[in-house]
Amino acid sequence: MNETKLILLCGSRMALPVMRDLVFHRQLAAVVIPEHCSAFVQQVQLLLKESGIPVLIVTRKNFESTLQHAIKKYQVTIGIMLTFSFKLPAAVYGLPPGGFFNIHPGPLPGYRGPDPVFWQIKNREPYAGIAIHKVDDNFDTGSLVLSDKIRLSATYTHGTLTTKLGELATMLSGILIKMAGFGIAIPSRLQDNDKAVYYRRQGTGDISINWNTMDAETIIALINACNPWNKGAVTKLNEKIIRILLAEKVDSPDPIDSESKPGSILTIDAKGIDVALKNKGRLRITYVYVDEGFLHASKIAEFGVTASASFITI
Amino acid sequence: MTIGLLLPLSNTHLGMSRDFVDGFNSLLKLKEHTTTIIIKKESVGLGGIEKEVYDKAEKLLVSDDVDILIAYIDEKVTAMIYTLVQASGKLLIVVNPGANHPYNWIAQPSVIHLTLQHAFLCWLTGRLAGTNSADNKEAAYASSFYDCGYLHSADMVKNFTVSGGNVLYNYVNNQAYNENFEISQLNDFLTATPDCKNILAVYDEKPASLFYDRLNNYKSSFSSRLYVSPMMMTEKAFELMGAGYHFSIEGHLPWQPALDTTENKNFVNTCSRPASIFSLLGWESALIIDEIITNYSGDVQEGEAIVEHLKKSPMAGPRGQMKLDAETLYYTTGFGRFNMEAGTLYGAVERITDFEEDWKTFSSLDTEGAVTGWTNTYLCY
Repeated sequence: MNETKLILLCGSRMALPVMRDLVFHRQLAAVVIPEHCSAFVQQVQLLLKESGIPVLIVTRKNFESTLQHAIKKYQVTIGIMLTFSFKLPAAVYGLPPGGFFNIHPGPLPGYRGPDPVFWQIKNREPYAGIAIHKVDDNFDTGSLVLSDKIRLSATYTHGTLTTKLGELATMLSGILIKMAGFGIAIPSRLQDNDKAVYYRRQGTGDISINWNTMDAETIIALINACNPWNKGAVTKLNEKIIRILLAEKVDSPDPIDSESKPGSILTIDAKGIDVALKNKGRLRITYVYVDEGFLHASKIAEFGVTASASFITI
Repeated sequence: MTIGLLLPLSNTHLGMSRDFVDGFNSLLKLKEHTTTIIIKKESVGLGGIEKEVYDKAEKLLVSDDVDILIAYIDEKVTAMIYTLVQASGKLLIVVNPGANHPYNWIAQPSVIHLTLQHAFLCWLTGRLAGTNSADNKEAAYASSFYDCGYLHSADMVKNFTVSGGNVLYNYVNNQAYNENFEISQLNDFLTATPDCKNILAVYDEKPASLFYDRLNNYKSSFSSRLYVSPMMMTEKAFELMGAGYHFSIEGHLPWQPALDTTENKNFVNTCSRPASIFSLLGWESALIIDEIITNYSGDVQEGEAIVEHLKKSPMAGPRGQMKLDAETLYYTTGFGRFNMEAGTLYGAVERITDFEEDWKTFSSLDTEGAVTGWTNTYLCY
């Protein structure tokens, strides 16, 4: 069996379980992280402090030459990317003899794009997936090597799913690395481009609550998809931006006034803020983020908000 | 149609592959498919060398271009050939006794599983032990170094605990299965803890017979209630029984040769060799192939399309109705609840066919936390 020396290109904590596994198995030659991921860089440097494994910080300008140099210097046999934001040129991905692979945190070809974790939660998929594909000239388009899924609970936040998919990625990368160690040509199949869907980086409209169109389940999914990276889903109240971090659907015995417009606050009490939704639905907001901090929703009353106020769609 | 068979060897169950092939061929012969099917076989040895399993699977899927691959391999090794299966798009039928199961049950779209449901049955037995023992919720756990390296062991203990039970003592035996086999340490515990009347036991049939025999010699076991794994209720497991045991034995078992159904009699009487759990798996694998040949009209190399067909096609097998669970892509079938009172020579078996809710609960439990186990395979499980 050939000795595996792996270079890991990454930019978020999703890569940490894979990294730990590679360190444990003494297969990690170097880690490469974009400079703009500064908090993650610190985290990785701390993790690898005692290991002697180099952490290479790259920019868009120098990453190609840095990678070429590192692959040769550390005699890298296989490359893996996971949440790495720069597109690799063939002059880099063609270098490791065992190939270069991207671990994409979403099923392919159905969830191409930079943040499939967000979109899978927002779209209320029953399952979330990981796909490993060969790196080619474009993002997320290479031949598929391995894929697997986990159940996507309606309570999973972006953070929870990131952790779960990181664990799944570790399992799949373990299989991939074992196969690379066999010295074989790793089998793959082309993606069906007819089934490809590209999800762009989420914009303001994608992270904002639309009180007129969304039901409780859709809002909760959006809130979860925005937690913690955006400190919640965005809405407006009394000209103030509020991010909702946690909410639940309420089946209240109290009849909702048919005059209550979606977004109207029905009650504010120790349980939180109850809001009217379309079709006489009701949502209880329990935690929010405002400029003043992370607060229990009932604290919003201290800012002069009363039960007559309404959340506004941005 | 060309079928590839990946077959294992076993040091403990020497006839495993021969039995499997006998069951497989017997059903195909009965259904008059022998002239329409070409079978290509490869051995994977003990099944523990992943590279060997991969190479043999690759030979069958790529070089021999079989349409469907039936692989008698352990769950942990299965992942090593997913790349081949995903790349080829062909149907893979994973066969084993089911003592291991996935850590996360989400199915691969063209991979189906046919097992003896050992882990599920152990899980049910754990619950049986926990709920039966209303007056005494404490148990000792007994197994061998080898037998406890599978998830069925954890499943039994976990569900016992969930059902209110408490394991006070773990006894893991690492001896050879011969005249020197002894369980004195377990006896010491039982003697010192007379109120602990339940024993959860997980052994293969050979050590099971030795375990029962040795335990029966100790007064500490008198009036104990044993809750046991499936292989502890086979005929061989009771070969040293003599005049009966001082303890009762309960558990769940996938199949027994005497099962009084037309399909089982057909199976037992058609096989060339004495029917066994291995020929049963061979026969049931061939039933799946028969269903595909007879009622599926699509491309036989389109694994996902075949799976969709099989989801809607329950079959009558020796164990009862075989139904492909759409969520996990595991075949589920009926099983027996075994109960042998202390001092008796035969156990009563009640057939259970209403298990869907239990299966759903079991297969929705993801395995969390650190998991250890054997990396080689012991394919009687």
